[in-house]
Amino acid sequence: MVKFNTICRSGQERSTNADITKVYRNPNPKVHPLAHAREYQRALVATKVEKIYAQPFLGALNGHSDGVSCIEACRFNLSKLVSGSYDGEIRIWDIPSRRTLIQLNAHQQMVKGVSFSRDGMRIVSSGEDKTINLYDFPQLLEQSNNTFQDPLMRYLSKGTLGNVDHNYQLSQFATAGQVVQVWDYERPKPIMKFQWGVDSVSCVKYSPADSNLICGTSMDRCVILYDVRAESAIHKVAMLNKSQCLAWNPIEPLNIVIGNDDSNCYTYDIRKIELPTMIHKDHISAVMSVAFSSSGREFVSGSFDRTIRIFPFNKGFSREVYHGQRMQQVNSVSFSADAQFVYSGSNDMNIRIWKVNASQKVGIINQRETNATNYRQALKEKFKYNPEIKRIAKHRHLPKYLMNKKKQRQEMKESKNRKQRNAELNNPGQYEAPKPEKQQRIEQFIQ
Amino acid sequence: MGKLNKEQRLEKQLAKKIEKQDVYQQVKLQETEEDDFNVANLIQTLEDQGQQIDSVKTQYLRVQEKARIVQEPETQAERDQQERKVAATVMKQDIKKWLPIVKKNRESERIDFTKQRNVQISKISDTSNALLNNHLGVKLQNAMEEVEKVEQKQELNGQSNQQKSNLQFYNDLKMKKISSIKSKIYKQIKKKKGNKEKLKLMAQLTPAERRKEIEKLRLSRAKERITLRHSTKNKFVSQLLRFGGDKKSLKQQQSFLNNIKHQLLAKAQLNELEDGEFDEENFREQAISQLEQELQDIERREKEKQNNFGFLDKQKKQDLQQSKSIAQKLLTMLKSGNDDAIQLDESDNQEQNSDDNYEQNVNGDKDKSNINIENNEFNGRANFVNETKQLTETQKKRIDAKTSLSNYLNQEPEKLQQQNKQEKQLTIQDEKKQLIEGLNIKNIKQKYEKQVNQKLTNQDLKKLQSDPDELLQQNLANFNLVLDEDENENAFIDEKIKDMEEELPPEPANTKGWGSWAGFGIKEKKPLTQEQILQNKIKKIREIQKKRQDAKLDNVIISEKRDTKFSKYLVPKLPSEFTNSEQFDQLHTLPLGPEWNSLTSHQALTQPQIITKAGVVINPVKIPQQINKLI
Repeated sequence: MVKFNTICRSGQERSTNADITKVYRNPNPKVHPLAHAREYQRALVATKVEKIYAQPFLGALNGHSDGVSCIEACRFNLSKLVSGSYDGEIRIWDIPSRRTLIQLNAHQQMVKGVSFSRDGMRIVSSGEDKTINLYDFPQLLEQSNNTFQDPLMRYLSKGTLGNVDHNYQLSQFATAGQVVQVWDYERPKPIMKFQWGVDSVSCVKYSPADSNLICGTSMDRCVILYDVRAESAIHKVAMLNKSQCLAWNPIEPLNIVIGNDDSNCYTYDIRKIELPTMIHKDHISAVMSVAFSSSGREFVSGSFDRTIRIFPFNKGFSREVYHGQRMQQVNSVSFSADAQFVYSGSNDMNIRIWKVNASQKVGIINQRETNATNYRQALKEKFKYNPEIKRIAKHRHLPKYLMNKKKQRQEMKESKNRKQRNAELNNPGQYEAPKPEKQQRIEQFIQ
Repeated sequence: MGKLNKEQRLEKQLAKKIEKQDVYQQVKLQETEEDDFNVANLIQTLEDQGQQIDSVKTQYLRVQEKARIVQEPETQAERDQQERKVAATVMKQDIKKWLPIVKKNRESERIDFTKQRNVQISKISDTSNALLNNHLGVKLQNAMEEVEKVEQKQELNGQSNQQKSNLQFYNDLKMKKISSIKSKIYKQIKKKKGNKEKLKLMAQLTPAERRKEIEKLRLSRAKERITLRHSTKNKFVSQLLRFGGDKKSLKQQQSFLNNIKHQLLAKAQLNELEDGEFDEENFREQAISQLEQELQDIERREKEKQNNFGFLDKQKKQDLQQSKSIAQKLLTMLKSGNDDAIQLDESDNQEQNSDDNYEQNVNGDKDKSNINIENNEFNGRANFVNETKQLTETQKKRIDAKTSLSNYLNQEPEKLQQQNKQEKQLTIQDEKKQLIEGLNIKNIKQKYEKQVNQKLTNQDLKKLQSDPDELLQQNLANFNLVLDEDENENAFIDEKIKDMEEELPPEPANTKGWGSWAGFGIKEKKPLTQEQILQNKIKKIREIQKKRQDAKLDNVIISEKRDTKFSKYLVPKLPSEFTNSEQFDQLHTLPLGPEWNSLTSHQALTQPQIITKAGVVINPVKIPQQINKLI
């Protein structure tokens, strides 16, 4: 038998490879009765696939010989990261190669804070030894082997110091501590001092959009707002618990997020700081550090409960939780400038790199792939209220100690509510209506 | 002579001074060795020299008045509080500039951080108006609006405008002169004047009001302190004052300003209608040329290939025809050269019945058109009258026999329907009455049996011939009931009871030894008889019966079972983001996949809300330079 290929001339097949096949589509919805069901199935598969491919942990930067107390990613350069540890050592990292570029014995005692300048050329660090060091990055690179390099400038503070934050626009930086001080590069003494009350301030942050505004959290459970133009602060609000960290929303410079010791994060509008606009719950222990994504839509928080959580800026509960078996208490977190990665420095002497979207592919992604992922995301968004999909998407594996603590807290909360309710029922007219939770957390607003 | 004069003057001045000093010394004190220093002594001494008392009094009053305004020394805490207050107000004012940016970001469908500037996506509502689709149309509309505005203004105040402008010019000149005065003495005098006025005002106030005023003054001072310190002593500002900022930014500023200037000048040239220098011919020529281009464009588009979808083509055609007609109308207007054409065009568009209006107005002169504009409110009614007249005269002739027949035919069934409705209403009312009295199945049966057994009259037969379906539908509903016998009825009741029995909870299985306890003082329980068990069952069934939806419906079994298989595809509770279920459904009817959408729309539908890209640094928000300058 001789085999020969038949030439097909029907309209459906292509005559050459370059030919475009026509797609005939009828937009009438009556012709597609199964569209909804098919999309549901796809959404279900997409959520499951996301779970399977969720691998958020990218790697760790190890080298510090003591717990990492503070880290900050460069705001200008995506590959640079600076970290300080409890033994006074500062390391500058190259993230793509995951190695230390520069190692410095900067302080006699614990490093309290590190910060990059806007252009990424200067680094400021503050320590418990009441000194502030200003380093020039190119100069450091020249003698990268010398661990005892002198800083470009060394400032001495009279009182104890907290963290340090560099101004986003000017050549100035602010330090927390007994007194909030604003320093200039060229002045040996602070150009401005703020003191209100007796207790010291633990953390200060400059507004990324406005070079005049500074926000701080103090040890006397207050959140204070300063204006550099005025000699005193603007106003403060006292909460029930002390807060240790705060972050400004870079896209909406009206809003700040603070991490509180009562394991919650609070969003404040600085125009009306009397009440928080939102409470973000999920941690089970004190929040040690918060950092905002540069897109302004998410923030990350590191906690004493050995987890990192990513919160949407307008939601009460976290979107994502990251934990590791060997990760200890998280002291500091930072977002990369392109809003793709999260860095966390913890007590176990490591700095960890995490993906913001756990299942996102790292590397070059072609257009077809992005379209497909976009479609999957859109489907998940569309069917997010569906019970099955909601259940799968919401599920997170948590270690036992977290689950138990969470249950315990839930029980405590329920019993407290029950007690309150019973008391009200048995003694009618004696109790007032309970205050909303936002109000309960605030003690006093001081102007 | 000059020297002598000078010496003389000096002597005179010295003499005057000495005199003054003498008076001062005299008034001041004349201490006596015996007495202590007292106010009474002072007054006595003053009274002794009666001439100087008045001057002292005036001096004393002046000091007292001044003391009212002179600020008391503030404590540091007070001062801090004031400064805080002021700082808060300044901050709140300052922060307002971010609000529009924040609002825009929150409201926008998506934010693309991979691009430097977020491009605004045009909405559907913006492009709904066909006229606004053409850039020419927009231009024309704007021009017309401006023309109208200017004319209205001219009519309202032709003369007062000049006076106002003259006054303003005079005022400007005055302010310029005053601001150009550099002498310190003048400013001192001015300040003194102001202070005197303030003093007078303060003297009139009550103490409480005065305190308030003083507080206000303090706050304003604190504000001044803050702003002054910042604006003058800031390093950036001092550098700017010395060097004038960067050269680049300066150039950019200048070029930007120049651009705006040119634009404004161009606009002003267009708008110089007040002096009558608006060159209409040029404008008209431009408009005509653009309109012609537009028409060519439309023709070309009409020749283009059509899509596969019929309804899309139809809509496209309609749109094109609309725009074409509008463009042609405008062209004819412009070419005819009537001044009124431009004015009237807008009103025509608004009313959408332009033909009658247009003919009247084009024929008329300026005066007529003005009258028409004034009587715009009544145009609609006039048109209506015209239309009815035309109908009677011309259009009646055109009506064919066919249309009249169809009208006639359409009227008949309406009448029939009305009759039927009346009958139906009667029967329903009868039924309702019976239901209220307590109707049984048998009653219904008897009633419909009668109806069926009735002999059909001639009229009914006619009705049947005209529309047999309706009568059939009426009677079919009860057809089964009439045919049913008692057996079927009983079977139905049995079925219903069975359905209820299924709902009963399962009885606990009898375990051996359970309930047969032995021991002292235990009462023996007799096992239930069959009757008792049945009675209990009936009780339970009755309870269930009460709860059922079909408790009062004898002829119906409503199944209350739910198919749980499908529930996983449904949302059990309406999410809080939506107000009603229709809204929720509407959002979820549109499929997103490429099978049901074109590729472009599929991509547009599935775009994420926030677009970020690895490697693209996102900077914190900045206020655009142009706005920053204004602030």
